[in-house]
Amino acid sequence: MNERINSLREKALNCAHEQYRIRKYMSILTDENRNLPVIERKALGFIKMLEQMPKFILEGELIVGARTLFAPRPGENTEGGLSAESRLSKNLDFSPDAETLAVENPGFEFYPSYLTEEEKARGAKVGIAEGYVTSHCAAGFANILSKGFNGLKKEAQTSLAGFEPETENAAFLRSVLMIIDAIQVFIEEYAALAESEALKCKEERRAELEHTAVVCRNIKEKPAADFQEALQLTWFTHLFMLMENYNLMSLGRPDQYLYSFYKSDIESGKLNPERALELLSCFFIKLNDGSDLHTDNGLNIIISGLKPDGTDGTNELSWLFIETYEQVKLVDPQINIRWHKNTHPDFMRRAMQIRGHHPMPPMIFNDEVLIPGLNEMGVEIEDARDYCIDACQDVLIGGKSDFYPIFGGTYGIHLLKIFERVIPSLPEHNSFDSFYKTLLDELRSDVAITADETNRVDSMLPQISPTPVLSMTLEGCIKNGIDKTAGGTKYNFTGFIGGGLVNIVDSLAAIKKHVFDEKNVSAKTLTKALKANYEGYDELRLMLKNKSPKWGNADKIVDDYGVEIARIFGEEVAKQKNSRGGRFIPGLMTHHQVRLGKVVGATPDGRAQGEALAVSLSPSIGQMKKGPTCALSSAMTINHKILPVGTSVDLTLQNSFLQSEADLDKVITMTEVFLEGGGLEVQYNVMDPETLRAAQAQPEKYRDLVVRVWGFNAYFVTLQKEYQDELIARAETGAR
Amino acid sequence: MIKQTALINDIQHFSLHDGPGIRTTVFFKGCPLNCRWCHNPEAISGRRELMFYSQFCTLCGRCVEVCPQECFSIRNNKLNLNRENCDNCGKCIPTCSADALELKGTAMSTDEILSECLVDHNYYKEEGGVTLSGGEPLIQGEFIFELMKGLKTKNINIVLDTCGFVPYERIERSLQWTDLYYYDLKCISRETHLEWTGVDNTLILDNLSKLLNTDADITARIPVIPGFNADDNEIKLIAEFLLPYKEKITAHLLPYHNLGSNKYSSLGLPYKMGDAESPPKKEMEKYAMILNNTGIRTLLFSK
Repeated sequence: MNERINSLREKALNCAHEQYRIRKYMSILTDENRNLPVIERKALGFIKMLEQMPKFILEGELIVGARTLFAPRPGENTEGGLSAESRLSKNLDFSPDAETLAVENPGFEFYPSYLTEEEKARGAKVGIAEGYVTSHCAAGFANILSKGFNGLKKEAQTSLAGFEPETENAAFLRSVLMIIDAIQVFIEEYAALAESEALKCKEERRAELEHTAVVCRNIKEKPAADFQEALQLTWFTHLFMLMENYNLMSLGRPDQYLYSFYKSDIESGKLNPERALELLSCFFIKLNDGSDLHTDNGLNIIISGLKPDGTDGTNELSWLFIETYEQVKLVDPQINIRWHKNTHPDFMRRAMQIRGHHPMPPMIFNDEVLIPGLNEMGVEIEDARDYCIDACQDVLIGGKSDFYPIFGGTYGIHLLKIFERVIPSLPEHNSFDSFYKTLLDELRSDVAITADETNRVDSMLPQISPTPVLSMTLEGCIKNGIDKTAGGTKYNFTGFIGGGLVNIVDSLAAIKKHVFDEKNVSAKTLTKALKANYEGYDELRLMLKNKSPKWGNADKIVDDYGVEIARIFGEEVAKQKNSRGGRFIPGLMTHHQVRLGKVVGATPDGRAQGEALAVSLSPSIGQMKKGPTCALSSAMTINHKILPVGTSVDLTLQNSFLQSEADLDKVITMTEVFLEGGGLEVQYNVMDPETLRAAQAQPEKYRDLVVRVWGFNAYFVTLQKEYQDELIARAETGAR
Repeated sequence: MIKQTALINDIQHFSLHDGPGIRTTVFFKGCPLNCRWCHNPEAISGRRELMFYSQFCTLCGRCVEVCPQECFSIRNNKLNLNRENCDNCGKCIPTCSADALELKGTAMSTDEILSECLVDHNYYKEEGGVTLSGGEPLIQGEFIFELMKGLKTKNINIVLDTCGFVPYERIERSLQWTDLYYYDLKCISRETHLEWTGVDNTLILDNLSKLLNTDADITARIPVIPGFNADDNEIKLIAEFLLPYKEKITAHLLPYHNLGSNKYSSLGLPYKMGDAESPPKKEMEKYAMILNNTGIRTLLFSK
C-alpha cells in the first residue's frame, strides 16, 4: 500500500469527510411547481440536492465527489423531508422499525420533500412514504460509460419528440433532461474545484488536480475515454444512484464494463498495473464514502463469470480487484465471484484465498445454474449470462432489469410466520401428512396473497416515488419513455424471497418424530409449550432440539421437506404476475436472522422465541453435526434452478481450513462438487471466536475488523450486540 | 463366522488430515495399545462405553429413574455416575434430552458403514475416499476385510490407519485393498515403548519392515510426545530405522496436544499426561529437519 492509499484509507476509517457534511431537510414544493407531474417534482428534489451539496477534494484523492447532504441527527430539526427510516414500508408483517442493524446513525440520507399532502396521504394508504424506493438494483454503468451524459441526453431528446407534452412519457423524459443538465453542472463544479485547489498545490499534486479537472470536464459530456475517466464516471453514476435510492445499490460487474478502458490504456502505455492498482484503490476507498453511516452498505461487486457470448470473462481486472481489496482492507466493496465449469482453477484458488484481516473467501455464484434458470424465466440468454447481484445477494440483470423485492415483508416473506399460523391446528390433525398438507396449502395461498399485496403497492409507486435517475441508465426506459417503476426497462421483475425454510424443515422433522412416530409428546402439549415459549417445558425443548433429525446432515427424510417446500414455493411464485407487465421470480434466503427470530414465536425445532434463525440454507446454529460436506449435500437436494433470484448456503469454517494449501484444495474441491451438483451460491465465513470476543470487549482496537453477516460484510464492532453474539455462536459451533 | 457388526465410535465427514483429498474417516472401537497420550481414549476399549458430559446435565433425573443398574444418583446438585455397575445397556441415552450422555460404540454392519460413507461419495473425486481408523481397524476380524471389499466394489480409495500391532498376515491380507497405509511409528526404544503404550514394539517394527518391502504406499505417522519421544535421540533412531526406505516413505510429524483431555473426564478416566504442553513449533521444525536431512520426506502438522 503506497503512502497515498494508506493516508486515504485512514481518512476513510476516521471519516475525515464528515467535516464537509451538512444536515438539513429540504422541500422543493412551491406554488409554482405543485402542479407539475410527480416525476418532475422528484427530479427537482434530486437537482436541489446536487446544488446544495458541499463539494470537497481530500488531499491525495484521485477519484472525487461524495454525498455531503444528510438528514438531521435525532433531535435536530426534522421538519419536512424524510429520512431513510420513513421510507420503509409500513405494512410489514413484523417490526416496522426495520433497520435494526443500523446503530446510532449520525444521520441518514434523505430526499427533499416533493409531494403534496394529498399525495402523501394516497401513498400512506398503501403503506409507502414519500421517496420510498426499493433500492436493490444496479445502474446501467456500461450504458453510461459508452454513451456519456450527452449520449443519454440525445436519446432522451429524440424520444421526447415522439410523445405529446402532457403524456407521462414526456414528463419522464423531461425529468431525465433536467437531471442530466444538473448533473453536468455538478460535475463541472467539481472540475472547477479541482482547478482552484490545484492553484494551492505544488507540482505533482497540482498536476493531479489539473488532470482531475480535465477528467471531470470530459465525462460530464462525453463517454469515458480512459481508465481513470471510467472509474470517475462509474463513481459519479453510483453516487447519483445512492442519492436517489438512499443506499443498498450494487456496482454490478465492474471487471466487465471497465475492462476495455483498462486494456486499451495498458496497451497504449498510458497505464501500468501499479498505477491501475492505485486508481482502483482510490475508487475502492470512495466506495466507503458512507460506511460510517450504515452497518450494511450492500456495496457488492461481482467479478469473473461468463460473458454474454458464453466465453469466460475472467480478465486481468478480475485479478486486480482482488489485489485491491486486499490492499485497501475496508468494509466495501464486497467481492463476489461467478463460477462456471471453465473457470480457471488458478482464479478460483486466488479468490478463495482473499484475505482482509482474516480470510474472506467470496460469495460464489454458479453460472451453470443461474443462467439456465434466468433463461427459463424469460431472460434472453446473452442477458442471462450478464447477470450480477444487487446490494444483498439477489440476482438481477445489471442495467436491464428491475428485480426489486416484494412488499409485505422487509425483504421477503417470512415462511415461519405462515408456519406459526398453522401450528395451533396441530392437535386437530390425526396424521402428520394431514398437518403437512395444511401447511403447504397455506404456503400456496400466502404466496398469491403476498403477490397481490405487492402489486397493490407496486402499482402506486410511479405516482408516489418514480426513480428517473436510475431509470435513465437502464435499457429501455428512455426509449420507451417510461420510468422503471412503471415498467420501462427490459426485464420488469419482482424478486420474491422466502425466508425461514430451515427452521420449518427442522420443525417438521421434530413433529413427525416426536408427535406422530414415537409419540413422545402430544400435539396438545407441544402447542401449549410453544405458546409458553417453552417456559416450564425445558426438557421438551431440549428433546426437540437434541433428539430430532436436522436439516444439513444429508438426511433424506428431513431434506425432502426442504425439497418439497422449495419446489412449491418456487412454482407458486413463478406463476405470479406483477403490475409492471413482468413476473415474480423466486429465491430462498434467510437474512436478518436475528430480527426475524425475534418476531416469530417458539418453534418445534426447539428454538425459543428470540433465538436467531438458521441463515439461508445453512443448518441451524450448532446443528451441522456431520460437517460441511453433508451441509452442502442437503442444500444440493433442492432444485436451485427454479429459484434464480438466489439461494445461499453460508457455512462457518475453522480458520485453519484455509491456512494450508492442501486444506484449501479440499475446500475448493468441496465447493466445486457443490456447484457441479447444482448448488446456486455458497459462502464461507472464516471466523475465530476468540478474535470476535476480543473485538466485542475492546471495540476500539478492532474498528476495522470486517465480518460477513449474511450477504453483506460489516465492521464487526458496528453490529448490534445480538448480531455479534450470533456470529460468535456461529464461529464456535460452525465447524469441528 | 464373520462378525455381522463392528463397534464404531464415529464416522467423521470432511476429515481433513486423514489422507489425501476429501475423506470420511471411520473410527473403530478397540485398540491393542493403551498410549498414555491417546487423544481418542474412547477408542481404546473394545466395548461400549458411556460418556457423561457434566457441563450439559440439567439434573432432570430421568436417567436416575430409567437405569436398571441404579448407576445414577443426584447429590448436592450433582449427577453422580457409578460406572462399576454400568453394563452399557444404553437405556439412559434417549431419556437424556440435554445430550449429556452418549454411548460410544454403535454396532454397525458393513452396509451401514458403507452407506454412511457414500453420503460423501461425490466429494471424493480422484484423490479422496475413506480412512479406516480407530482404535485399530485390523483387529476387527473378517469384518474389516469385508468392509474393505465393499468399499473397493464402489471404487473408493482406502487409507488404512494402523498401529501395526497385529499379526503380519492381517496386514498382508489388507494389501489388496489398501491404497495408502498410515502406519503409526511411535518410538524405537523398546523399553520406552512398552512403558508408554503397554506393548513391546518388536512386532510393530517387524511388521513395518515387512510392509516397507512390499510395494505398498506408506506414510509413517510419528506423534511427537513430550517425555516420550520428543528428543533428538528418539527422532534420530526413527530416522535411522526409516533410512533404508527413504525413497518410498513419507513421514508425518504430529505434535502432542491435549484436546482429548476432556474426553478422559467424560469417561471417568484419569488424564495421564498432566499439564504437558505441545512441543513448540521451533522444536517440531528441528525434528522435521533431522528427518529431512536424512533424506526422508517429512511433513509437519500443526495441532
